[in-house]
Amino acid sequence: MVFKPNGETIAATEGTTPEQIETLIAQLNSITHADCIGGLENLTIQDVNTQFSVRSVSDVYLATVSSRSVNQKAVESLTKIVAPMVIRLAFNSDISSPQNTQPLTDKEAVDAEAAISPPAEEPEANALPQPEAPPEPSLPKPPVTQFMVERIGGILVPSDTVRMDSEVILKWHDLYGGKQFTLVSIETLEGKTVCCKYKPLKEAKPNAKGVIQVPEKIIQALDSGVGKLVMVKPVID
Amino acid sequence: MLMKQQSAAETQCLSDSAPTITVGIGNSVFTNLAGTLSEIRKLKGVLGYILRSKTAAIIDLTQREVVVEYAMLSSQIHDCSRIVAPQFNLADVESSLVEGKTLKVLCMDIGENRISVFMDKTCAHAWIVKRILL
Repeated sequence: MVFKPNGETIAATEGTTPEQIETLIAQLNSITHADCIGGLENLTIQDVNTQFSVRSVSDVYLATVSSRSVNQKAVESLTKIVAPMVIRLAFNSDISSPQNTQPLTDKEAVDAEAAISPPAEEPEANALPQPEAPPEPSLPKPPVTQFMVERIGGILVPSDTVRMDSEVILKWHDLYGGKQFTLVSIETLEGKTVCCKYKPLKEAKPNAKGVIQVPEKIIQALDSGVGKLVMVKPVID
Repeated sequence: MLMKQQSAAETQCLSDSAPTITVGIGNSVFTNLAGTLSEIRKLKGVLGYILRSKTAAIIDLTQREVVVEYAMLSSQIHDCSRIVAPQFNLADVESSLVEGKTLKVLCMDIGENRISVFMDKTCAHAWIVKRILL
């Protein structure tokens, strides 16, 4: 079952009674000293044959009951990765929010990386819907574009400036009706964010699409590395 | 820190690393568990443990300042699992594990003895469960 700490039940299997949910919520709320271990992320109760697990996913709890005799790796994949991902997708439609990107595991990051690996493909798969109408009084939400990190260095390379596809920059300018912006926000899949200046890539290499050239200093600040994925969006005042 | 309590009224704090444990006559389970836990305590990532029976308790935790917090948390977890388990048709609870962002706590009831082991999240709690149940 999926429920909120305030008692609101979002989903439950057949046969789950309100009493069960009420008791569970009351007991979870009674664990008031969990701060000393960094909050309550997961509770697992096991008997000889069965295990009951409650996992905190964003703002809701996911409770599952499973047999201990089944493949535990499969159960863990379902309860730790698949179900939380579905819940997050259902509740956080904005994929650019750190809430959504931060809990990604390394495995998910690798999967995501594999999904965009063909360089000829459009790298802006995660761009948010762009407004079709002419500029509105309120600015549209900054579009998020996914890039793969490439290291850039040299004497003449400023350490606070990244280089990225000029087409993407052009699209951003078009989107905001020529409104100038000097900074971009770079966010890793782990949720670390850095704002820095940007420049278009000097020469348009055929495989430059989907690549962002980042100085070593910024790579370290992001705790990222070459080949890792980052989400980039313009910083609009 | 090691805390030995032989009755509700009498509580002592001992600082030596090799504690001597005196318990009521006939409580051999408590003594055995104390021995097992002192071995588990040496494992990498294990921060300490609380062992409590009706008449005695041992608290062996590295950080003195969090003893009260840990003891309260331990008690809350035991109570929670005792009430929640029957609601979901779990018969005899073998272990309860609570994971936080930084640490995790393994709680077990062996007869009248309550065990709570505090450890890093990377620590293999399944092995500890097996070791205690041996």
